Amino acid sequence: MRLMRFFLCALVLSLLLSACEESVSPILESDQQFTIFGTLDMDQDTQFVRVIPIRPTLVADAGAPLDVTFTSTDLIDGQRLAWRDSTVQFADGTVGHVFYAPVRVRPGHTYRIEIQPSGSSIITSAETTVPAQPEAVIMPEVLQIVFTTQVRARQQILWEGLDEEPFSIEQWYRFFSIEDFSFRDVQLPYVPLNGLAEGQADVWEMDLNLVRDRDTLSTMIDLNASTALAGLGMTITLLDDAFAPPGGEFDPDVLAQPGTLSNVENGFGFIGSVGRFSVEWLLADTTARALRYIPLGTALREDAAEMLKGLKQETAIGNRR
Amino acid sequence: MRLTRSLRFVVLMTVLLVLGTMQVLAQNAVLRGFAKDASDGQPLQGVNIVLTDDGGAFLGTATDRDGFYAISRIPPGRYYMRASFIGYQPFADTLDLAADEIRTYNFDITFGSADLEEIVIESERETAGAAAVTGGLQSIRPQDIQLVPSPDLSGDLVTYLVTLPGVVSGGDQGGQLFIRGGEPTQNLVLMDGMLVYQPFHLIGFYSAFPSSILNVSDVYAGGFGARYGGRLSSVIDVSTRNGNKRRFAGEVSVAPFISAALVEGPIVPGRVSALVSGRFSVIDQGASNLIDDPLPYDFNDQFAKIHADLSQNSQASISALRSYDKGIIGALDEAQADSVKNQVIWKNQALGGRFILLPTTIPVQAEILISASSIENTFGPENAPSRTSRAQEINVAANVTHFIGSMDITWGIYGRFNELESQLGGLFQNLQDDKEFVSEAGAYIETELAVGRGVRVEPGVRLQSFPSKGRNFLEPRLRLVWDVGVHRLSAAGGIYHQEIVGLTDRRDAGDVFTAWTSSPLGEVPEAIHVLGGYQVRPASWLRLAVEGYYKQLSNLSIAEWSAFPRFTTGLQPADGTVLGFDGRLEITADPFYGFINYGYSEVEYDAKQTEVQYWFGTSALTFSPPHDRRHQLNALGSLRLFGFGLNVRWQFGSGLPFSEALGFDEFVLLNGPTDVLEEGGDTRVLYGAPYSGRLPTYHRLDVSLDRRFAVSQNAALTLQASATNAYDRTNLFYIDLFTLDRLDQLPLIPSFGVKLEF
Repeated sequence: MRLMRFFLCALVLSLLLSACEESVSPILESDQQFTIFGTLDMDQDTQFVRVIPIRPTLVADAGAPLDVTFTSTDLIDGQRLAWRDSTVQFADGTVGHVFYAPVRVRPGHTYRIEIQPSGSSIITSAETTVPAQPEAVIMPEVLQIVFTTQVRARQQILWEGLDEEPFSIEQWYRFFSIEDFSFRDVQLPYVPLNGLAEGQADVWEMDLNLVRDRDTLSTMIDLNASTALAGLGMTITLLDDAFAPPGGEFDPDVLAQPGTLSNVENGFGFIGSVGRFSVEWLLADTTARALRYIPLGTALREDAAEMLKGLKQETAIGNRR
Repeated sequence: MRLTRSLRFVVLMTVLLVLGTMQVLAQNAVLRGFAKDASDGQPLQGVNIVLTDDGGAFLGTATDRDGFYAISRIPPGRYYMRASFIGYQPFADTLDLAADEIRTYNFDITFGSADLEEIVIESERETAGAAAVTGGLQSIRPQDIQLVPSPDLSGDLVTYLVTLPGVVSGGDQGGQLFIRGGEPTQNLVLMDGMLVYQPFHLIGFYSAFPSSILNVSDVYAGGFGARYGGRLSSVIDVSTRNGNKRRFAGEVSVAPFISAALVEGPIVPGRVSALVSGRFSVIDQGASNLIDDPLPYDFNDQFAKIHADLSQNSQASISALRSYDKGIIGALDEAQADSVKNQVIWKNQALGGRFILLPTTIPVQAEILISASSIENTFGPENAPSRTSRAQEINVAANVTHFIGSMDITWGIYGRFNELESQLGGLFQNLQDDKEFVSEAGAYIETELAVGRGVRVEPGVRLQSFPSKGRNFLEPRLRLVWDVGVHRLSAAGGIYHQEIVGLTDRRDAGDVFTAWTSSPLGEVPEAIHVLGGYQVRPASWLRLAVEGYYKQLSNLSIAEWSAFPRFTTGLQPADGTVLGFDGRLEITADPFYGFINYGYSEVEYDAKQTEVQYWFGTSALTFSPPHDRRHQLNALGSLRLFGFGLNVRWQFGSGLPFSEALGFDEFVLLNGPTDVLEEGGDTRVLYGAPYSGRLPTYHRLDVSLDRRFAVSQNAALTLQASATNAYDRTNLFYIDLFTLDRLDQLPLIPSFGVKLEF
């Protein structure tokens, strides 16, 4: 009977326990409020930053307005700017918030982005420094003519003041058409002469193979007698120092881990900045001719001579009449 | 070359054993045979057989699950043989045994009054009961199962298994059993020697093992001997009973969960019998209406067995099993049933033959097993599953036991052929669509040696070889038992490997899809078990037991931790440890029977994943997996009064780990200057530390009341009323992190059942 009593007690106890149904939430409390993604780009007149409120549900109610204050501050000159919200439909059809401000960011300047919800003291923030302007030094081209027919030509461009390898390097040739008096830029992939661009002690050396470029260009455009070489150019795109993924690779599976490549406080994501810097120069006439280009000066002179000759002929005919 | 060496080792051992056995025979006699129930020809396990000579000296043994016994090294002479079994009339005879004689002596014993004054020959397996655990082994009889309240009258092995401390169920739904920290796919489940991949039905009260077809089930929660291999965690070795060899009999039961029928009878009276059983769920039509909520589950199982006594010295049986499950886990209300369209289906099939032979010239028992087993598992929308996995095993094995005085030596060889096929519709757990053949061969030897003073030692070693993989494993095993009066101390340990693994994504409690493959990360999962226990019977009505255990796991494969809310990720390697202890108290005071089991367990995994170091600050993740139930308590009481049977079971479990998150956002890949006006981004879950949260505690009371009415001499009608989750506790099954839906376990389900036996 004692045993039966024990089991009855256990039964009553369990009935009492049943009264207290425990609730549980899988969502942790946190100060992390927003995820922000964007790059401040020197080349853009208007800057854009995606703002994603961290939400407790998988499916977002992206159409709801965000009651927040979004500002950027130039920490060099103290200029503070309020950004505006916009609801954007992305290429995949989803909708989200993108804040924007008509501002050009300047090299070497540090910008602080802040988002503060109304009635909250918690600020989600990030800082980014636009890459500083590097100096480009154009070295004289090196021209070699072997056995009177084979030409070797290379040229070095030294970028001084670069800590990291540029994110991208673009190279272009500018041509002038004597026929319609117009300029045309032709982009070429940057293929260094000896492997990748090399850097040492803040100087990045870029080696151009001018002969290979000439061969490539001849497959892209008609380099006839009326097309003159008007110049060469190079643009390098630099990312800010914090824009460095782990292992040097932008692997989505790695970068998707919260906190990876993140400079956001009280939130997630990344605000980076992009600097783009260009340099233009002319090839020496000798080199240009050796590479079978028509130097712009020569072309213009010849063209002018032609024009003058034509003008003289017209004048002589007119006089005869 | 390695395989050849191994085979040479096995042949050498065999020759030595045969020679040794012949040597033992010199001048001594051997008595052996089978003990059966006189009423139906069933083998009886645990029958005590004692030989006494005129001087009063005695030799004894107990029968095994086949009712087989053997006593060797008997000096020639006249002996008084007495066989006794609780609840049965003793059997006695006088035997004259000559020198070198090998006598096969089969006998039947009749149900009737018991003589409790008999000398009890202890063996590891002869005792059953909630607190009768020896070195991780517990034997479960059908009558034990009947004490556990269940919503119908057919009774099922799984209802008893989940009362064992250290056995954690994934919930009322899902059919997943975690034994002492191991994963469900790390349990070796055998039925009459046939592998059964996933025998537990979707609803937690049922498996492919109804108690009506069972003889005895040995559950090794760890430290299993060299006879078993290929799994890391545990062994559930189910032996089915034979059909009635004397008369036709059967039973039919109907209840809101399941309807069952069983027919058995002699094909050749006294020699060959057949047994056929089938169960079909009626949840959709029955229990679902009782709770007025959908229970979208459909399952059934069928079993058939033919058993033949071929001669006095040989027996043969053929068993066949089929089970089927289909359902949507967690869909317990209308909205969920409508919204969640992914359903899981699995189908087990097994067919096997078993042949037992007692050679007339040498005192050995030989067993030959041939079986084919398969499982097919699908997951996804109905009629268009997105994932399918199939595994098949063909097994041929031979086991031979030599009886040499106080020592039994068992050795065996086996060969297996596995076919593993997956169509996964993309990446799942590091797997792509795949078809693989894995061959396996091996041998083992183990001895059971009584060294005196109540000490029995069972050393063993198992050799597993995978020629197609070029891998070999040598696994030492050891079991020890020390009986001192009412006390029993036991210990067990060993090394275990699992080449064929089942991969399930534990991050999704609602998805029990399992893909079977060979060790996916190259390294073969390994476990080291150590356990030790103490059992005492201070009074005839009371038994107490405690057992501590430790498992070291290495080379496990677990799902990668990814912020993308998807379950199609890769795998990462992990190691783990399991530490725990059980405490059991069992009371047998007629008409009351009860037990209380408490289990403490700590499971910890260590995983390394480079990607997560930026999020969690370290690439080494240490966490408790979602089956780490720290505390578990089971109390069962059964009272038989005035023809009524009242069974009450209360279970309590501390909360299981689950993953929490800070929330959700979108991830936009910034791999340079990026136009954020174009990129929508991928939805991301901002997980907290893995499995850092704990679900609320779980507790439930099940009650059943039954009454058996005799209809005629051979027929009886049993009526049952039961309540599952009697106080309607809202137990949480899991929270869907992505929808925040709370999915609960089964509510209060009243049930009524009727069973007709004839």
